[in-house]
This record gives sequence, C-alpha cells and structure tokens, in this order.
Amino acid sequence: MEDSAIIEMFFARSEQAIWSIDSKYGAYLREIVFRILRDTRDTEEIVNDTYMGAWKAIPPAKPESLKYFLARIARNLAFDRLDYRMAGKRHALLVELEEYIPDEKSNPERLREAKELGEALNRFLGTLDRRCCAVFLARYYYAYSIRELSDQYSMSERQVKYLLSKTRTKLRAFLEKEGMFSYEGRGFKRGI
Amino acid sequence: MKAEDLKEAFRHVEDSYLELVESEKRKRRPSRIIRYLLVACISLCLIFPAGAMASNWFGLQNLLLRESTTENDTTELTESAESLPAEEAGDGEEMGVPESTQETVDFSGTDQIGLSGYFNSPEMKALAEWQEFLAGYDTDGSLLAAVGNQPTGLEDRYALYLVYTREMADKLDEITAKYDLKLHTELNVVSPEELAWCVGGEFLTEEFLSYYGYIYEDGSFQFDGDVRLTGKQRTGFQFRRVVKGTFDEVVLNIGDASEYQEVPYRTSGGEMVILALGPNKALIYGDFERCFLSVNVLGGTENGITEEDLKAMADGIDFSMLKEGGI
Repeated sequence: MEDSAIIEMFFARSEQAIWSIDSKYGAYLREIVFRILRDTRDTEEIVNDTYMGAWKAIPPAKPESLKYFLARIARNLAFDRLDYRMAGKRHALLVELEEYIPDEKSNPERLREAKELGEALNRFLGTLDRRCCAVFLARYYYAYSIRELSDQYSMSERQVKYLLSKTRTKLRAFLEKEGMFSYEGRGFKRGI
Repeated sequence: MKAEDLKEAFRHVEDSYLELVESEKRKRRPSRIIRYLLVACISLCLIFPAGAMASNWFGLQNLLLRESTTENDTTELTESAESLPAEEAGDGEEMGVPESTQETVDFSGTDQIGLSGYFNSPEMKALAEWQEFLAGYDTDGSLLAAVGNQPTGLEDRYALYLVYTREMADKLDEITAKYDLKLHTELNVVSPEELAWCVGGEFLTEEFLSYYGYIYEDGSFQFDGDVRLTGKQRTGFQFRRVVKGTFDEVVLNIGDASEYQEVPYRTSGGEMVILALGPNKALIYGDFERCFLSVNVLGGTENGITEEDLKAMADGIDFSMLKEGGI
C-alpha cells in the first residue's frame, strides 16, 4: 500500500492505518528498536508506542517519508527507554560521540542549542561521501554494532572502527569551524 | 547534559541522509565458490580488419584483486590483446566482444576490484599486496584499540591511508617503493564548480547532478551524484579518477564478477571505455595512459538499468578532458 493511502487513513482517523503501517514497516521498526534495546518485550512496547505516537502526530503532520517519520519516532522512544532503564548511565554510543562535544549550558537553552547542533550535523553529513555518511548514521542513529556495520557495508571491523574514529574527529573539527564550540574554558583534549 | 544534546541533535537528521543507510548496504549473497574466466584476446585478430589502431580490451576480471603470491595466478594477458586491431568506430559505436581462452581459479565470497588500473599495473600490484597485508594484520583489532583516539604520530605522512602503527607505515613504504609509487599528501573537499575548475572545465552533461567531492594533490578525485536516465528515476553514482603513479587503496565490492555483462564501447566523444552491467550495480571504466576513470553506477538490471542507459551515461562524460589526468 502506498504511503499516501496510509496517511489518508490517518487523516480519516481509520484504525486501519495502524494495521497498514505495522504490515509495511513493522519489521523495519522492530529491527531499529531491538538494535538499541536488545530486549524483545521492550521492543514490542516501543513499537506500539511508535504507532501511538504516529496516531497522535498525523494529522496535522503529513510526513513526506512515512518510513523515516516512523523510524525517527521509534528511535527516539527507544533511546528514551534506554535512558530510563540505565538510570543515569549513558549509552555507549553517545559516550563515543560526546567525548568530542563539550558540555553544554543548562536546560533552558539546551533544546535550542540541540536544534542548532542538529542543523550543523546535517551540514556536516553533507560533506561526507555516501558510504561514510551511511556508516556513521548506521552507528549513531540506528545503533548498529561494529560487526553489523562490517557485514552490511563490506568492510572489515577494523576499517569500520577507523572510519568512525576519523569521522568523529572530522565532526568535532567541523563544529569548531562552525563556531559551535570553543576551547576557552571547556577543558577537553585536543588531538584525539 | 552532552548525551541529551546529541540525542536531540540526531532527531534532526534529514531523511535524505537516512536513506543512504539503506542504499549503501551491499546486497546479501550466499557465500559460494565462483569461477573466474580470464580473457585473452587471441582469435579476434581473425575477425577485425587490420590497419586500425590497437584495441586494449581488458575486462572486469582484470580489475579483480588477486593474492600476490597465489600459485593459480599464472595468467598473463597476451600481447595479442594489446596489439589487436579494432574497428574505426563511428559516433558511439559498440565494439564486438572478443573470444577468449579460459583459465579458472576458485574463490569464495564477493569480489573486490581496485580502481587504479588493471591487475598488471604497478598500482594494482601494490594494492593487492597492501590488501593481503591488511587481511592478516591486527585481525583482532587490539592494536587499533590500543591506539584509540590518540594521535599516532604518523599523521603527517600517512593521514590519508589506513595506517595506525609504525609497522603498517613501514609496510606501506616498502610496497610503494617496490612499485615506485608516491603517497597522497593532500586532500581537499571541493564543490562541483571547484572540481570543474580544477580539471579544466565542465565534463558532464546536464543530465548529471554532482555533489561535493574531494580531490587529491595529484588530481585524483571522487564525487557522488545522481544521473537522470531517460524514462527512469534518478540513479546514484560515484565517479572516481585515479591518477597513475600514486598509491590508491580504495577497493570496490562488486558482488559476483561473473554476473556482469561487459562490452567495450566507443563513446560519442571517441573514447574507449568498458561498460559492465550487473544485477545490482554497473560500471563504466576506462584505463588511460595517465589515469584510470571509473563510474560506479548504484543500480543494475534488477533496478531497470540497461546497456543503453550505460551508453547514454558514457556519452555524457567528457573522457577526453579527464584522461590527461593530473594537476
């Protein structure tokens, strides 16, 4: 079924929309969520929450890509669940990245700066070649393991780690160049 | 909190980038034994008239990475292939496929090709030796883990290569010295306009949409793009020029080489290239005196790509401008 037809069902408040997205994207969403949570029961809960989230958002939202709209919801919910589960511990993936990003200001400005960071992130992704971009996002957006990346992108695990390491370094350099951060008063290391 | 900022930031990743995560994945194939057919153009001299310029028809099989010490690698393309007379082609005329003697070698898994020349070139021999070294080095990743994110002290000379220990650096130096190759020293991200300026002008017709790419100090470059094929959706591609004389470690996974249909083709601009059409991928490539040019088309017969499409793409590329190579 075409996405446009499914979206029309959402607008018509037909519950058939939920069955349709489950049929078309359920496996895809479960894969995304399970890769983050590694728990079957939590995965099912999050996928159901994703459908609920879509139901609430559409309308008025009318996503251009229903697939990535749902993936975005699922991914964010999965990481939120992970944060709750880990109760203060941080997901290893985000720790890999945040070593390159200095600490931010307090909550009132956090969302605004995160949005700016997101926009800068998109500009950065535009400077990468397709494969590098794909591997970087597969790791930090979809939480692929190193082994999965190696298999999916025909690279050795060493090449994957090397690519990610170089890309993280490029990301920091890019953000510094964009004026997102400065070294003054930050106290984090250079040359890593 | 940093983790929260990053999590929020990733919420804003655009769909076009998320699409790449899927589109750049290799197609899964069951692991199996495959056989190679090595092409030697012996009988074609009986088919084509004499008096035309030499044809140098080396196929996809001769781009495959081979073990540098394999006992099975006894095949050499005969001189008859290089001296083979060819038809004087007209505008974009297709050449015939030469007959060949065959020699089989067993391999398993997917095939990888180098993009810097044919197997008997110093660039490819060096690449094969380097890949063979990497396959047996730091297989558990412990050395890379030990390096972590710290500088290696090797960045000045080896920043553009997969080198993170002194041993790797020494091996790379040994190989490149053996084949008299230089190392890349500088890489710059360029816009399509900047790249065109670097190479001496526009080299693609308007059907091509180029994205930012990168160029090395010697004029080697790569960029991604989309091409509008008649009656089809835009198809992605990767365009690479590798100037000879410099070591290039890029390899391309092409799936099963035996599944490609190949034809030599003289473009409307009069340049000889090879068109290789596979089920999920296609290639347009040309081996020139000063460089090796390749277009990795991100689609094949299963995506509706045809030989005519590849011809149209090849006709839309000014190989004569690019083949001189180098800055």
